[in-house]
Amino acid sequence: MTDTTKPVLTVDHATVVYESDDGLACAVNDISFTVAPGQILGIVGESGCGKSTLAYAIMHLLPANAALVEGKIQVQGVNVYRLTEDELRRFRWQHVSMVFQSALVTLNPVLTVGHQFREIFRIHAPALSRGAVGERIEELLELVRIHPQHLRSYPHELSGGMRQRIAIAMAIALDPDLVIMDEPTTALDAVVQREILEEIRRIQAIKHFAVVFISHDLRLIRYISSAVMVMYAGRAVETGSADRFLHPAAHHPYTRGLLDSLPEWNVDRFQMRGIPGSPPDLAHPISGCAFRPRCPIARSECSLAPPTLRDVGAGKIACIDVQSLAKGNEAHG
Amino acid sequence: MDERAELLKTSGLTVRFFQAQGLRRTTVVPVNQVSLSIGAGEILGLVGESGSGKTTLGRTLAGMIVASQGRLWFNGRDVTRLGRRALRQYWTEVQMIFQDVYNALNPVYTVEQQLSFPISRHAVGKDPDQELERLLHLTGLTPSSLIRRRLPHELSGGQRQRVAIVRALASRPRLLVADEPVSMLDVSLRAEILQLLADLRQALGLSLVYITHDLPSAIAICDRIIVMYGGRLIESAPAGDLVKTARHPYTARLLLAATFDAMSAESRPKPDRQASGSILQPSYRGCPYAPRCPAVTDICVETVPDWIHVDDGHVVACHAVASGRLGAGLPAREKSPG
Amino acid sequence: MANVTHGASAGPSAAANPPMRHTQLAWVRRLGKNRKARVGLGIFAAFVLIAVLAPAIARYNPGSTNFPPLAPPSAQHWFGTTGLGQDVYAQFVWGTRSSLLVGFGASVISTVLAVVIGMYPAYRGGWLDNVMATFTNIFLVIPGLPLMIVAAAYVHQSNTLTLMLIIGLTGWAGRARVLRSQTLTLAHREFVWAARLTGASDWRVLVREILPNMLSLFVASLMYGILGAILAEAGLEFLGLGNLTQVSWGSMLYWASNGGAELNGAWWWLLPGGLAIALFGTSLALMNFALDEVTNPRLRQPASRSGERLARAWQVMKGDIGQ
Ligand SMILES: Nc1ncnc2c1ncn2[C@@H]1O[C@H](COP(=O)(O)OP(=O)(O)OP(=O)(O)O)[C@@H](O)[C@H]1O
Ligand SMILES: Nc1ncnc2c1ncn2[C@@H]1O[C@H](COP(=O)(O)OP(=O)(O)OP(=O)(O)O)[C@@H](O)[C@H]1O
Ligand code: SF4
Ligand SMILES: [Mg+2]
Ligand SMILES: [Mg+2]
Repeated sequence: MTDTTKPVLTVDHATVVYESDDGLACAVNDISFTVAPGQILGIVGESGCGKSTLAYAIMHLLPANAALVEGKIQVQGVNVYRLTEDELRRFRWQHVSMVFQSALVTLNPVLTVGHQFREIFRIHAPALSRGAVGERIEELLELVRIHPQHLRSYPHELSGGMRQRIAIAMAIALDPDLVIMDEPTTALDAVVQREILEEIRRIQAIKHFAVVFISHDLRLIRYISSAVMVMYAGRAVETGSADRFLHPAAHHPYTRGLLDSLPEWNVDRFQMRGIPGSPPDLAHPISGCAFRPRCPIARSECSLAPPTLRDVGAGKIACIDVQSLAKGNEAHG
Repeated sequence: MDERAELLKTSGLTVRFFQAQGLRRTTVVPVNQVSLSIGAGEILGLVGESGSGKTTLGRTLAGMIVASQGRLWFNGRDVTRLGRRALRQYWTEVQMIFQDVYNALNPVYTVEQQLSFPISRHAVGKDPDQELERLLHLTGLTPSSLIRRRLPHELSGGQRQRVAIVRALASRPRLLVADEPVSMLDVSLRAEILQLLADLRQALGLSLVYITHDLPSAIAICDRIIVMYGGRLIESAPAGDLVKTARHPYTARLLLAATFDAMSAESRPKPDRQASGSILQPSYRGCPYAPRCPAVTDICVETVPDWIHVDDGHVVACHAVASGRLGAGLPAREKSPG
Repeated sequence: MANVTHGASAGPSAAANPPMRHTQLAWVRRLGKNRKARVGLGIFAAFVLIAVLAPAIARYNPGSTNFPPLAPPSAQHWFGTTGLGQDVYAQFVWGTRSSLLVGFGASVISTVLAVVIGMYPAYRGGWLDNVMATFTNIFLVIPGLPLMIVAAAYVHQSNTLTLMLIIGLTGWAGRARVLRSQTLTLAHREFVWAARLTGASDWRVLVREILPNMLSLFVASLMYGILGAILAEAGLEFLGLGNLTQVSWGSMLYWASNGGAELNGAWWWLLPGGLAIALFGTSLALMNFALDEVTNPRLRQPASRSGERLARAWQVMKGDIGQ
């Protein structure tokens, strides 16, 4: 189906700003990455760090007060921002699809779930016969563990998790090359979540589509992804293989904080820990590294310039002190 | 079990929804014979499968849905079927944080406009503006001067969620039904917000029903956790006990699935068969978990299991536990890497 | 009628424009920039101005028959005179006043009814909604014009007020239904519940939470109501069922056609009434189209200009913060 050597998605120095009464807020700042066919890239970061904005930018769906002001985004080698409206419409369901953070965006409240499924096939795969469409829909529902009787339900008659699962099924309905999933499982219990993630991985291995998986949950991200990108204040502060987040390795201080606040299962009573300090203000960025005010190892040099991603073993870290992070980790591990 | 005064109590609470499906009309029973009680200042966790009726139960407790059977008492008063005026009175004492954050805020008002009404209404003797400032800071909605002027569509998912939390807290309820209140927040913020809720319990005696899919956080802040499946309560235990001595087969399965890292490929349980749509139908008899349960026996498909008292404050509804076929404890679990 | 019920159709197209679904009141600002809206509003304002200033700008008494009959337009009589020797311009000015008065008045009455019978019960739900919905549907199947004619025939000497009442009381049902269905989709949204849970009263919730979210539909419905009422008034007058001693656009048409304006080639007598109705209708239609354009995301143009502007602004800001 696709050339397995060329990346499906190339994001090249992408920068997105929002305009509001207070001026510009940079929600995605100079981010670059590629996603190969069959790969799952996990993006993790705290609330408001720009994950959804990045996803919208890839879909060319930014709201009117935002713009991709620098950089390039290519899907299958095609610059997304060079497409006409018509091409975009086709491109969005057939080549790239998205599970939005809110299932409301995908689901129309006044139509039944079945109607909306059939509509997708009617518009984008008109050649398919009625019977074939019906079969495909049942198959998709089975995948997300929804009983076919719910095809007759309206979205408000479904639970939060069921709506989310329907949105997932719709996103993969047309076998796109790339699926962007923005917090797709926040309303799912652990059992169903596990099953669906397994299913996504299974069909993903068969169909070979690429996935960008966005979540605030590092535990989930490192479980599902092949590669991980950690975002903070609109920037990529760490990238690398998922393994790096499962086993002792050098990490950006922010990632370290995230890892340390993961609940541990082998204690009697969980302690919930956080990273001290408050989230950054995107509209009034500070000089140098954005994590500086909350960082335990911050030094005066950190305020000079924002650090760039530099190699450490199997990953990259954007911290002024990569060397000692790597060394400190040896002591740690 | 606990010497706390009882704030809310239900007995045999049942909710039915009617759904027109073409020409037929089907009935679903997402809340079936639910009896529970919540003490003043207690934090009660409500966990369970997606679609098992947690939201519906939460809404019923908040007076948004009228139960078709059973009773609901609040502070000793029967509030099952209230008139409009009495209901408005009840609603000043109960608040709900909604699961769907994208619907929870009015699209046409800024954060400040959304919050000013509940705050000025309930913050007696306080400067409403300062109160708003304080709540925004507590929930990490900084810089507050900027956030105040934002419309909902200019906020990220997690920011919306926190605005909704502030709104619910501003009304100073006695009972807060929080339906997935932190589902879009990272561990760090999540810890802070849950700590805030726990502090409010201390300071104001707030009772909390914490509906969640995040077991670790439920275990961290709840006094007691109730597990729901197919519209019924199936297990209830003090939070600490549940991790160690879960008895119901579904609870065990849930706990196992929640420990992502601890599982190698072979130890992963086989996926469940297709979610059964029939267990919520009124004609269904028997244990709701029977269609999937590895320990199922004949009696399971015929009668609903009764509550069995297994430990101090720990009850479970399962035939296999009753007959002693299922002992305490989880399947062996490896230690998770830090 | 503005198609604002949920903006988008099925899943696929809905997904094509997600962020806009949330920008609910931005359309008010966009309306100011829309050409159709400006032209429509301009004509509308001109008519309102004429109506308000009628006593000052009419020049003559519209009823006085002191002028030479059937005189063509001239410096004395800008729009000429009627067969009875009345000044057509004076009639047009005063007619505008009474037509708009009936239009606005009837529209206010029917809007209040539509809100009380359509919106409020939809929000309350239960038996009240069932009863009111049935009542609305019964009213809907009764054809409007005959009903009005019957009502007007019963009121022997109708004046402005009775006309308003007749038109207003018979014209609410369609709009009640539109408002009801939109209210139904909003009434159980979580933010509405949240407002109820803070102890807000029913009317507060309806006016503060629900109405602003359907404002464009509401405004469209109001304009549709005004137009409908003005047409209805003209119709009744033309059929001789109105108050023919009162000048209005409808009675001007009635007298012109019954007084033999056509036979005498007195186009100046016939034209103003009809033209006024057409022009006023056009202005409402233009505003309605504009409203549709700015609220319906699918008719909107992408904001490609703002992209370049933002890119430039970003370069400046980057220089400032030294990144
Ligand atoms: N339309 C908008 N106008 C102005 N600012 C916006 C707009 N949309 C989002 N923002 C801001 O941009 C930042 C990034 O938002 P984004 O939705 O990308 O965050 P996120 O990483 O997805 O967070 P979450 O995990 O909470 O969903 C946030 O601080 C948010 O307040
Ligand atoms: N208005 C309704 N009409 C008909 N059925 C409904 C309605 N609301 C909910 N249901 C059904 O009731 C069941 C329980 O829904 P509920 O939202 O309470 O689940 P939940 O436990 O909150 O799930 P989740 O964790 O996914 O949010 C679902 O099967 C759903 O389809
Ligand atoms: S009652 Fe039977 S079916 Fe239900 S959980 Fe126990 S063993 Fe399984
Ligand atoms: Mg987001
Ligand atoms: Mg729910």
